[in-house]
Amino acid sequence: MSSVLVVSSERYSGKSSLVVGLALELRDRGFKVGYMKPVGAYPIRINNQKVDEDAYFVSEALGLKDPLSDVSPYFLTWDTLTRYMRKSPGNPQAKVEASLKRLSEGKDVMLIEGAQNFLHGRILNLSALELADVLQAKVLLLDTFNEELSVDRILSAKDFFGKWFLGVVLNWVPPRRMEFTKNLLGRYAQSQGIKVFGSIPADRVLRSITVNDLAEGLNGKIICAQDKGDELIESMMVGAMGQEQALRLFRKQANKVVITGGDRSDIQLAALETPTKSLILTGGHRPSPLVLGQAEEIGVPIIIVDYDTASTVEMVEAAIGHQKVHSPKKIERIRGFIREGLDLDLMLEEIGMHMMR
Amino acid sequence: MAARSSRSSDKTHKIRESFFEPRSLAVIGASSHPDKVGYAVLANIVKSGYQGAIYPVNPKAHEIQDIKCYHDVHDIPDPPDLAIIIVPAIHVPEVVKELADRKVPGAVIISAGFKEASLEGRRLEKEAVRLAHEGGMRLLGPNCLGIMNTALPLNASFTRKLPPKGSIGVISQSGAICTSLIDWARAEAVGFSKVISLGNSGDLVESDFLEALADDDETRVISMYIEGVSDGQRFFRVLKKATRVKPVVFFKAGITQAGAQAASSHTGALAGSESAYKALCTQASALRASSVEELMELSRTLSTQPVPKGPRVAIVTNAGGPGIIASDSCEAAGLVLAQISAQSAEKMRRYLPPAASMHNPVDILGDADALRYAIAVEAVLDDPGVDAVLVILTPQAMTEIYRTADEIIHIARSTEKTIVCSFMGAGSVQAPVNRLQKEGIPNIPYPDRAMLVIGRMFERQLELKKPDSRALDFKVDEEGVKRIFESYKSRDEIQVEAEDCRAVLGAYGIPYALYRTAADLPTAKKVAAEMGYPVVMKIVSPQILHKTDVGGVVLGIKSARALATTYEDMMANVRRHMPGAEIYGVGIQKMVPEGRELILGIVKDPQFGPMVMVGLGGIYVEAFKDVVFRLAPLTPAEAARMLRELHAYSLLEGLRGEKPSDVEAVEDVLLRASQLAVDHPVLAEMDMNPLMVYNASIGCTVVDVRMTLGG
Repeated sequence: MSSVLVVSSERYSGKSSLVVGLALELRDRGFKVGYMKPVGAYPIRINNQKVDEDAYFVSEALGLKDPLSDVSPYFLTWDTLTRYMRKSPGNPQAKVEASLKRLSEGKDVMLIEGAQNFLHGRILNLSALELADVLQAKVLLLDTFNEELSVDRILSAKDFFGKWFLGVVLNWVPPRRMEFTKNLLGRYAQSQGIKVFGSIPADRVLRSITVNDLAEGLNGKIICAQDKGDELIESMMVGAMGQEQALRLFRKQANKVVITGGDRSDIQLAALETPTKSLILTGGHRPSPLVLGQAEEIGVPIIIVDYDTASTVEMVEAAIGHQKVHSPKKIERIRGFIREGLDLDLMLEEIGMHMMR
Repeated sequence: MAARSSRSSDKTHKIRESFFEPRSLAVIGASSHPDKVGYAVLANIVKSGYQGAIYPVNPKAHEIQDIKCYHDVHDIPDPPDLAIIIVPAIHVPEVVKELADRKVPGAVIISAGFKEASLEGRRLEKEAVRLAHEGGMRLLGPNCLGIMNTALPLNASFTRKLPPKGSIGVISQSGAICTSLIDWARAEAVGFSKVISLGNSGDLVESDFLEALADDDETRVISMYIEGVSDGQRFFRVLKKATRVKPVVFFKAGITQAGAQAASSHTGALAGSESAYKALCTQASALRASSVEELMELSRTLSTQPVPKGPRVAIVTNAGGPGIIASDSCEAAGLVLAQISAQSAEKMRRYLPPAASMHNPVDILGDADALRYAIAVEAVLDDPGVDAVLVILTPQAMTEIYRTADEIIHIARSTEKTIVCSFMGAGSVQAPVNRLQKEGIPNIPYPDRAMLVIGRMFERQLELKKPDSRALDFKVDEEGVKRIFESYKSRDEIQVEAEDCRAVLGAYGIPYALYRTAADLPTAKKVAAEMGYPVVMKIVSPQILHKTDVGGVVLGIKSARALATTYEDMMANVRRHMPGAEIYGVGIQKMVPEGRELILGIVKDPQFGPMVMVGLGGIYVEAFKDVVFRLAPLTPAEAARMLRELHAYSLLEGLRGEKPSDVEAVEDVLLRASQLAVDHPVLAEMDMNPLMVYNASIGCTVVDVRMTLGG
């Protein structure tokens, strides 16, 4: 059995997506894959059991039946952090080690998801380097591509993780820089003894949020075209101008949600005229039956929210781009990127699993 | 009649047979309760003097208003030509089905509670239209006032009385406006031929009735109240044809932001832009009224008076002030004050007091009686240098208002020139004015406004003289452009990249400055060497919209060395200003010589589709907003005309010894852009800014261009 710890240097870098995609791809090649996330950040309650939101999603997506207390044993929130500062957490390393042992039974590969960055978890003695040591896991760095910073981060990661360092996957690479990461960067890293397994391109779909998730996050109510709740929203625009300006602006952005007041029929119709995935009407106003009918007919869900426009904009802004990969469409998409862009054979070879194929 | 039928479409034929001239009527939902709409509609039909058979339908009655009542549609002995439906919305689809089964050709649905009310109502409306079409039946409404034909006569509406018989055909998207116009028409003795209230336009729409009225012998003028149209491109074609036959006066409500907002919630459709309606009226030769009042004044005048053959107006007045007012508005109205000939002056001199003025305005003095008016009006009408006469009357002590009106009525019978009266005031002139108007001489109580109406009528004459002009068909690579746009569609992208934009221009023969995107410095150098220096360098980044603000544009790079320095500086500048921006590289463009800068573009209107735009370019564009729009397809005559409508046109002609610009080359680009827009509806917006225009016969070049795609 081999373990791979997936870490990142910043949060929202796409670790959960990569883990789900990798796991499914490895499964397709006949491997039995297990999963754990020792240190979580956003606990939710499932069947009266606290579990990290990402960990729960990954388990569900992979159809794993393991006890959630093993999959997601620790959290670092303000509450737990201050608690651990007052009172020792005991021996988390031993607990995590035991969990991994149970989870890895009958598995070929364990994918272990790191915390928010690779220093996170130190208070529990569960920072990335400590975890690698305790769990005998190879460290895979998922680096969110940055033209100026990525190279140094990769070089430093090798120094930092030493013998545990497996290599790098670059994420969110602008299409125009894919060529650079493949050739110059790849060759340079190799000359420094670092494996770059490949790159995943920046992708609007992966950043998007479903209409249903958005409505739920806003405590909103979808009043038409409910069957389009799975449509993905990539961006947001606010409608507070005249109809002609609105049309010109709305045309320039595809797959968007438009936020406007319930009484602005002209803006609502302008949005429906352009590539729009959903309309959010603020202030609890309902649209005119004519607009509602139009939206229903062309299949654009209208979400009614009680917040004012300014607060709604803030919430939608926060939601888009920090979205989890909780949709089948996105999982398919990331698998496609992994198949096209990552050298899985090389990765398997590096963790000593190539013989299994 | 035979000739008319052969030139009219099947639909127009059906509208005439069924909606305008039905020989029999069914009233579904007729009622014997005086407070019900079903009662009022039946009563109005009867009271209007309708001569055909009437079949009230109501399962609960044997007789309504002394007419035998039928249990249901199947009970009616012969299928009627038209059915009026006043049952609740929920029952309308089944009634429509029964009528369609009996091969009834048309129905007016007066009932409300459809698209305008709820999702369920929308479903019912669609269902009714579907069932009607299945049975070959056409529908007017739902949610409308009804229909009227004063010649038949027939008042199939819930407005109590018919307007006077006349030759104005009214089409309105607002039932309430219909009611008010009818009330006004009755008070002012204005005659209507047909009144059509469109309601939700679930099936038949404004274009259908416009076509039908253009073909209707009893209608001389078509008068429309519109908030939005159903299919703008069809409306444009139909309107263009209609105005060839008779004048169409057009009032569009909802032209400001507040108005458009109100209109969109009223109709459930995006109102077309003001520029689109302006272009529509110009290109289709329709007369746009700026108020409901003007709509009616203009319709009335056009329906009763001949259009002036020329712009020369004679004013006959019994007071100096109003004569001056009328003269002032003469020019604004696009008219000229006629030169009264010596012979005409002599004719008048014999009978008029010496203090009277025989020049225009002809002032017959405050004590003028009816005879003086008759002499002066007759003399100016006889003058070959006069195309129209405005008769102004102020009610003074000696004025014979009644007799003057009679004299004018009498004279008007034997002239083919335009006569408009302006009997000023309201009280003492009212009865004589009514008499004038009954005899077809419009009275507009304010002389300045009267002059403006004559001006608008003359516009009609000018439009009639406009030669027919057709869009050209350039040889272009339509398929190539289609492939480019489709590749964006397949990637779900809507902003067309710089190089592809140029390829599109090239495919349509629009000249542009050479341009290529280079991902790095070596490529940039290679590209520049191929193009030849001097070149322009522009940053290429999806996040940077205002390139100059971040140091992202450098002009006049003359050598490879300068190119390298510029590249490094630009990258550093841009990184500093916008650290997060994703940089694709730089665009290298061949430097073009200075010329006069114009903006050309395509904007898609939600109702009328692609519009071509031209305007003054450069740094003053925001300040002057000197732009002109036209609907595509553009004809060569329209391209020439739109350019000449620019205030900046005088700059293109060459000011103070400057050489004139290559206007023909710009017209060519306008026409090619129009063809591009028509060929590729997916092109939602295109901006060619600037278009550098050079001296005559040297041409023009697009320097920068942006395109946005969308359904």
